[in-house]
Amino acid sequence: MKCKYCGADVKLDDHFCPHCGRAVEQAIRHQKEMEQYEEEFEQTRRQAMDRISVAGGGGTAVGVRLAVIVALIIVLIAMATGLNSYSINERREKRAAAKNHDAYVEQIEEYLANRDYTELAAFCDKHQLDYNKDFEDYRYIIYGASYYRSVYKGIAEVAFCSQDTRYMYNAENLSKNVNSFYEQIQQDRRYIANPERTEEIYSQMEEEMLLLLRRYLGLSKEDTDSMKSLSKSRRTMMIEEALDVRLVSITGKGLSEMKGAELPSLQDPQENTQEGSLEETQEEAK
Amino acid sequence: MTRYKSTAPRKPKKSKVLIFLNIVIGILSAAVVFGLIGFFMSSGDNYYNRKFGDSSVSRDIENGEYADLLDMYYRDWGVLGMVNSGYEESAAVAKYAQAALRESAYRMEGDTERADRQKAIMDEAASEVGIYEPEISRISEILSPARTVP
Repeated sequence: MKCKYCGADVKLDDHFCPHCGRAVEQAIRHQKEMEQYEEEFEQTRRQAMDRISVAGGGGTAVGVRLAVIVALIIVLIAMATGLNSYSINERREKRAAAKNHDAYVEQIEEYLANRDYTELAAFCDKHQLDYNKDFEDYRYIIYGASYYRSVYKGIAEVAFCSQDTRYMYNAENLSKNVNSFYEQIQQDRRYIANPERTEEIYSQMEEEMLLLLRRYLGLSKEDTDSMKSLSKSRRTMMIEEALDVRLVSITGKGLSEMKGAELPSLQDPQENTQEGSLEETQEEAK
Repeated sequence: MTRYKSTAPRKPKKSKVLIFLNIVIGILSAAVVFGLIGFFMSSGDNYYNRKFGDSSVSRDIENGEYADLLDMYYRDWGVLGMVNSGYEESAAVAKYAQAALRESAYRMEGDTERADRQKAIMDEAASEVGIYEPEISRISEILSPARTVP
């Protein structure tokens, strides 16, 4: 281009005319525009690079976060299933049972000899022996003792009830627990490791249970002798009627008042050889 | 020369996916931390380590709720001799109640051998009840044959 003052040739980079020395305004303006352009270009370039790293390198960021999430989920599952105080103590009890096998067997036999079935149930529950393969011979005996204990709790509530007693959950479920006990002792013997011994212990448990029912529910010997052969619903009716009489005599309230429903009557029962619900039997009685 | 103002955003916006994943990581991390805290706090107190004896035991004895007392005696391994310090006398009351329940039934049936064994346990427990001595007569009265259904 030309200097506007002397007309000499000047370059775009010349801020001053080499011939007359005056400022070349166009060159100065051009210089500033170029600097501004480069600055904006650089800024745009940086922003574009940042966006690319967020979007494209975001693939790596997402992958890392997903891996962390999976690891945390695995840790939580491990904590829920293994790393909790219940599981740890359960494993500890199993190791102790393996170590003290003979002592535990001796204790179990002592409980059985003395007919301390509630103690037996508590002992085996505490030491997790019911699913322990080293105590396979006692497994079904332990199950029986557990059902016996449920019945025992109901009988204890009846025995100790008073006019002020408000909650008798175990007594309300006494007939159900007696039925569960009979279901347990009458089950198929094919899977029992020691069927003869188990049968013997079941008979003794039944004997104890019936003795307590006679004492605290006022059932007769004839009632309890027939109990094993009764259907579930007949057994339920027998126990609940005896329980009702007992509770009314002590507390003034009967079982029906507790359960909020009418009890079936034994006056005109229909013999029901099939296991049925109490409601079905009530319908039949009506 | 024409100036062009940059249209690119000044700050890059973080991906919503990453924000969501960060939140999920935060929640899971908090769950792990709380889980670990819960584990260490409860490691000494659980189903297998519990023992018989707390404030509800004293309340049950006071109110004559012997069935509930017995329930806790089995549930909290008191029947196996696991008793919290200071509740030995309460455990003796439960032991007495349990033995008396069986003794009365055996006696009624005429099984003197078993009845005598339970009587021995009752006598042993009676010597251990301490301040709960009045409970002995209370329990005996409740379980007396006079309460049997006529």
